[in-house]
Amino acid sequence: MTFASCGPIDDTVVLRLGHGLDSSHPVHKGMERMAELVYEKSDGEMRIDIYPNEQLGTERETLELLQIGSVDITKVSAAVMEGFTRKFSIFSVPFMFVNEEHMHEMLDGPIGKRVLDAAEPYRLVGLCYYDAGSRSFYTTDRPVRKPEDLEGLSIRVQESVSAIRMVNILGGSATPISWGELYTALQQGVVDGAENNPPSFYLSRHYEVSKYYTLNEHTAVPDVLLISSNTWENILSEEQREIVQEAALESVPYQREEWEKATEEALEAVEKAGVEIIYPDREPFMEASEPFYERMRAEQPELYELFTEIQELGREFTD
Amino acid sequence: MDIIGILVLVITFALLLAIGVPVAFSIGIATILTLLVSVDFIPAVTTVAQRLGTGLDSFTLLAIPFFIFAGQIMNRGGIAERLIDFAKALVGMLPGGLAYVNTLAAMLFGAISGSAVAAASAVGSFMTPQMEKQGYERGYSASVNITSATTGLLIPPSNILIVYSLASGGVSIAALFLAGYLPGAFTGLMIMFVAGYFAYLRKYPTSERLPLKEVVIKFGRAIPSLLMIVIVIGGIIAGIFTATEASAIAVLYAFVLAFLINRELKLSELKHVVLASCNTTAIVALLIGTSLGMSWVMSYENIPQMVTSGLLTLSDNPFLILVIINVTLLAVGVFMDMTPAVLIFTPIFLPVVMELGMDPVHFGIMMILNLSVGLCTPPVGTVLFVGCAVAKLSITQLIKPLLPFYAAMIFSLIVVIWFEELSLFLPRLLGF
Amino acid sequence: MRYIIGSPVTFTEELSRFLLIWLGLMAASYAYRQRSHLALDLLILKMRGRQKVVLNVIIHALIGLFSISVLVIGGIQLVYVTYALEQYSSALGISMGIVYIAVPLSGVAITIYAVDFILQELGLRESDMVTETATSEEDLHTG
Ligand code: NA
Ligand code: NA
Repeated sequence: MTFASCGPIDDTVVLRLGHGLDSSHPVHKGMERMAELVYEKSDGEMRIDIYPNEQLGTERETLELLQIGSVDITKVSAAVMEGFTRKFSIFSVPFMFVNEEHMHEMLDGPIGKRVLDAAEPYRLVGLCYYDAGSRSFYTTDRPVRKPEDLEGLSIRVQESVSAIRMVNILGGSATPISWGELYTALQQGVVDGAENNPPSFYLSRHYEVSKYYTLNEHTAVPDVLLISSNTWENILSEEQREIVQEAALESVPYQREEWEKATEEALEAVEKAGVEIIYPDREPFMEASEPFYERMRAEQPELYELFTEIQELGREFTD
Repeated sequence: MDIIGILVLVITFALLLAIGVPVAFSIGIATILTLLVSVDFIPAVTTVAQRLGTGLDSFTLLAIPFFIFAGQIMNRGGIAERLIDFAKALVGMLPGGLAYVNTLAAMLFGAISGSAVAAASAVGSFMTPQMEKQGYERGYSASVNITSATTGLLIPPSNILIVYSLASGGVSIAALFLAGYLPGAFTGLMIMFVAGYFAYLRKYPTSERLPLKEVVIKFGRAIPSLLMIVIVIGGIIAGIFTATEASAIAVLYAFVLAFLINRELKLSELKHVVLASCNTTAIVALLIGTSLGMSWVMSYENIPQMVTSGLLTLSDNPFLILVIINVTLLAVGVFMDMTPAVLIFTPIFLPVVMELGMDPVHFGIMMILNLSVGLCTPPVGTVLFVGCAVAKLSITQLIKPLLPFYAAMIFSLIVVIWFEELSLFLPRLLGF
Repeated sequence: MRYIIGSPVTFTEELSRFLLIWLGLMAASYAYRQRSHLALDLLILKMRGRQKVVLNVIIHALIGLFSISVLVIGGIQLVYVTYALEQYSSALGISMGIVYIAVPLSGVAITIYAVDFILQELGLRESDMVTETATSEEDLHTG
């Protein structure tokens, strides 16, 4: 029925990994490290081919291709996973993590694993989280120093329900448009600003058209590495599965270092390019987010429970 | 495995085209067969179905049906006629005047409608009989008409530049539109030059010079049509609206123009206009869907990387690489329609030329001009087909008269490649 | 409707994108019915009689096979995957399955037309080459 059975002459298992980032991005470097580790651990019997820059489609489309079974691995933002399973929207809750250590503790621990496993009914197996830092606002004409400054500004957000809600609750007007169209949208004034982490702000060159960067760090939405259930169950052996899982987890600390470096470089570079970096008081922003928690408590009690559990964990990290 | 994939792709595609399977289906069938080399049946067909669906899922692409619709309205709304009158008043008195009129009118109409096919049919159907009456050879008039109609692809608005923006991963449409003006106008000039040379040789007649008053009147009648360029393009470049919004405005404007100002389009004809637009949109849509599918399969089989590294190891001389790319594109254009050619070959060649330091806007203009030649050549050349139909000539009768005009286009191509300023001057001037 | 938030621009933008998918694919089958998809007809023009019939049958059979396997089977599978696995569009919140139904639907239409063209070639049905004025709606009933 297929040519695949008589296809590859050697026994090398080739896994195709498609994602939307540029190959200079620190998350791409993490995946590269994972591919190296897989190759080493399998003595060259497994290979991961990486297709960056949306070569195989946007994040949502590539996820579909994982479910369909023609692409094996992908990296998506946890925000994109919301479209499938509500558990992932936990990361879009503003000001949930006390600090970076708190976030890493949650991702590496049982709570993180539980959220990752929520992808399974959707033909997706979660391998690990990659650090995607904290997201902050950047604006073209008007600096944002306190929540009130967001009033009347249309802010581009990801295609995520909670991201839209969060920006609207903080006072902005959320406008989901695609990442690829954002540069022109900022330039032409279709939107007044956007929100993202420092490396993305820098690499997308959005700093050329946005002169204010407000480091309020409202959310920390990690990236998620996923493998197709079809690949996982039908193509990989028990041993190969272990290799892939180990390689993914081992690439995480390396990726976090890369991320930190990239964040520092990015902030330095955009400042040099004339962007004013604003370090606002986070308190007013957190207070303005209260309605978000209230609404979550009323509408999504399960999610709220998860949220309190994470806050519980955060006690260890408050000073 | 990659090699098998490429072979399947190229051979099945060529075979299907040769036996007369419609281009869009040839692309689709070659795509699925290629994917079946490395993927099981069900995932393979589902993947191609997904690429077809998502290929059309783009806000930018939405501009195309609108511009097509606007073009159809203009085609029947007396706009070509007014532009021809205006062109006559401007250049009709020169030796071989009607040839210049034809070129200028096709440039103007192509500029406004964004479609080379519309320009060839609208201007050609008016001009060919007039030129014949004055003793111009039919093959000559048709050649002028066909080649000058393609300049409208470079002079904005232009659907194909929107397609290029999509294929290149978001090169600014406004920058591309600005970049198209000078190369488009230059190509038109080169076509006029060749046309003038033959008009001189064959002693084609001159029209009488119109009194200034007449010129002003003709200009006045053409103003509403010409104003469209100002509104649509001005709006895009000034950042007032996106290309998609501009396309909707173009429809509205064309509608007002054809119904209320020119009063040449009747409401009863509207159904026909809508159906014809749907038909053209459908042809383009299926081509876009299947081409993006083929482009995806090529990425999947790592073909762009192989071509890039192959070209770069073949030579490190940028000039030679550009020559190879252009010769390849010219050959592609002979056999392939422009839309799939842009969608399939942009992801392959753009990384190579960017490695060489070429501006993606400049490359886009070069690619469209290059593939414009192919639109005028058999066996697959939509503008040629339309031009033949309008002039009531067979393709074989047209080959010889077309040759010098191909030369004009290729000369223009060389100039456009050589002097990047010709493309980049305007966008840089306006800060893109 | 769980997703009604966000700005109106998004709704219209998403809706128009989805309408383009529907219009494009549905009209593609209409254009096939009208025989207006671009093709290279050098070979077919050289052929006469039986040869021509055979070639035309081959062409339409290939198109039929493509639309049955990719558009119908692949399309149904795509609708199933996106529907069952709960892929929702971000602004309208409708299942992507509904958007993608256009793929198998246009596939069914194209397959019917392909079969019809083949029957016409074989002389089993009256040719409609002359009467080409039918609208898409009327067309759907002729299959
Ligand atoms: Na144009
Ligand atoms: Na051609």
